[in-house]
Amino acid sequence: MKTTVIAAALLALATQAQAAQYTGAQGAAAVDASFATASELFFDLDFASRGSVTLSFAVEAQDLAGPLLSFNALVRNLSGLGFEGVSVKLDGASFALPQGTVTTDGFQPVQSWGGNSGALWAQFGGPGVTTEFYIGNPLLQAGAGDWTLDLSGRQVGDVFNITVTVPEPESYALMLVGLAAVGWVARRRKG
Amino acid sequence: MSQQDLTLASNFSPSRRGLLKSASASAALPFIATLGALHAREAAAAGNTVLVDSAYGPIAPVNDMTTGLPLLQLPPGFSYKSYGWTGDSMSNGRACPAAHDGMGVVQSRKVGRSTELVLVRNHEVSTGSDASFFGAPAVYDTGTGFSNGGTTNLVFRDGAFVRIDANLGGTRTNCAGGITPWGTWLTCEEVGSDNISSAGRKHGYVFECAADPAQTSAEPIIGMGRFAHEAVAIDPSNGYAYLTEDSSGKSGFYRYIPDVHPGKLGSLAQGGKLQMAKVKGENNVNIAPAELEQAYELEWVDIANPDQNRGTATAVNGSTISNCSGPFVQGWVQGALRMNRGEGIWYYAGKMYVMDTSGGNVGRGAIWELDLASQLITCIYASASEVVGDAGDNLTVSPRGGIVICEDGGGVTDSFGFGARLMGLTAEGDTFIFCKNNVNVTAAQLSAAGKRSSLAGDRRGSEFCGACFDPTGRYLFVNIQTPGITLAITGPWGNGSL
Repeated sequence: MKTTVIAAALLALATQAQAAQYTGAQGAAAVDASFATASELFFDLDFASRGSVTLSFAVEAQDLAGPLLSFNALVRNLSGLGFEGVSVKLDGASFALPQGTVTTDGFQPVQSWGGNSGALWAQFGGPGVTTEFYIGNPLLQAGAGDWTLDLSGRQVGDVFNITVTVPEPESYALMLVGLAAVGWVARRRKG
Repeated sequence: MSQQDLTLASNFSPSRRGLLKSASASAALPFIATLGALHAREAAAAGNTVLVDSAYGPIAPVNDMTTGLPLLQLPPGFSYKSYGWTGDSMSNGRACPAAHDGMGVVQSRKVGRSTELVLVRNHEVSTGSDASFFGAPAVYDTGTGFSNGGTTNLVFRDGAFVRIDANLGGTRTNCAGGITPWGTWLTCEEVGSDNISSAGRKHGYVFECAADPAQTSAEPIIGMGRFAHEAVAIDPSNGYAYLTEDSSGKSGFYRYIPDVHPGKLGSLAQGGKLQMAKVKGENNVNIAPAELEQAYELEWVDIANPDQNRGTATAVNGSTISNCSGPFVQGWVQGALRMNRGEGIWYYAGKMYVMDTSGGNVGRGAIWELDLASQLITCIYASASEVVGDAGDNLTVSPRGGIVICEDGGGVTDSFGFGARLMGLTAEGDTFIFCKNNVNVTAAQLSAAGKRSSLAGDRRGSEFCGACFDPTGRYLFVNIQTPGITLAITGPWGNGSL
């Protein structure tokens, strides 16, 4: 009987297991990070204005077994204004190949998107997305794919951050330059 | 984020307008410091609403993202998807009925990470030959000379329409209606007749439609009255339902006090008291020839028999109006007021917004704002001409507090050409052109898009109806009644007042 109870408790823990433990967020968006599983790091963001939000995660032992996590995010634009682009910057983790996708709900197109080990970005067709877009494949749609987070070299208890930024239109070009630099630094660190 | 969080400061009250007349306020708002705005202020002083340039920019034809056809003229940055055309296949395999009219979002829920909306849409069909009632699970009247109006549901998930479900059948001339705070749709029969069908059914009632069609009962809410209903809106604070009547020159304005509050599916049919609005201290006031800022304090008189047959209404002074609805007859003799043709009504932030489609100085439309706390009803919009506003019909208020007006005047020629329009109201009470019906398609174009070729033609004069926003204010849903199209519109709403 006692063994059964312990086994059931362990099973319950296993089913509740999440990828890297979400420890909180700071910034311009409301966050729902309740979708994570043992090998998947998923969250939804509601932006009421352009800006940035940084989500922090603590590495757990199970995260290092892979050490790859599937990553996606659903971003809703509740600002009433168009979002011209988005960037996702990593600090303490990196993106692994193959790259995932960035898509929208079809009311506005993704004009271009790309990424490197430290960041990903997308530019939307003018005048921008006014509804929602998807980093990776949160809605399990055909032709879309998740991004992959690589936690190689990290230790249990390490913290890594994911910063999602919806920039003001005039700062979009500056953001791209910055992201390219971030990717270069990330590659040098890894090397 | 909650709907409340999205709400921006808005104020359509006369005091706001008065504030803007001051020089200091004009200096604070550069967009009104123009010659055009000066003219606007002069026109407003004459008692009429004026047309101003849209803050969203000029409209131009935009292709539908579903069919590729240029069905609408919209401002820069706005896009749309069409769905649920007349004749499209529904989930039960039958053809989607025609004559799309009133519509509301009755459910918004999370399905996993998806956001799913359920809309209920009216079909303003009277009688026809469809003995199947388009496969609706709930049918009211099975009598011959089939009552082929009713409602269908539209499911919209993550920015895409998913399916059409039949809901209520066996009703007639389902014009507009209204959403309830408990997530259902009240569909209104615009029938002014005492005729009884071969199945023993009368028409001119309100019916409740559930988000799940299997839960719709097809039971008329007799207590809400039998007359040419147009629309209904509910005050969530006390459950009172406010109802409009579309009967030219003899339209009452009613409210229904339900016995059950808070409400739930079916509770309105459990009983209540119908009342008709009266101007306090005055008898039989005709409020149709409205001017801006004109205001009345309301009181309410009881309607003893909401199902009474039609008849001649006798005023307090003994004068008569023939062929009126039974509820109107009972209210008129007690001194109740009348509008010209009550149309759309929408609740927002403690107020009801009511359209009299033939009200105003020139009979091209007036909007009344009823403050529910004070019972003061004030004219906030009075069209001076077709170009300013052409027989506004259904209306809605966005989660940001902006009013959208659906025109039903047969189309207007303005600086963007000919067509029926969706108009907006600025926070200052002026109108602007937000969207224009641009449906002028050939049979070949429709066939290529997978639509019935019989829908072809120049439909630019066909009315907009059923405008409603999703709870986040990102999507505006609206119908073009003929040939019967539902549209989801999105764009940079924050650039203007909607």
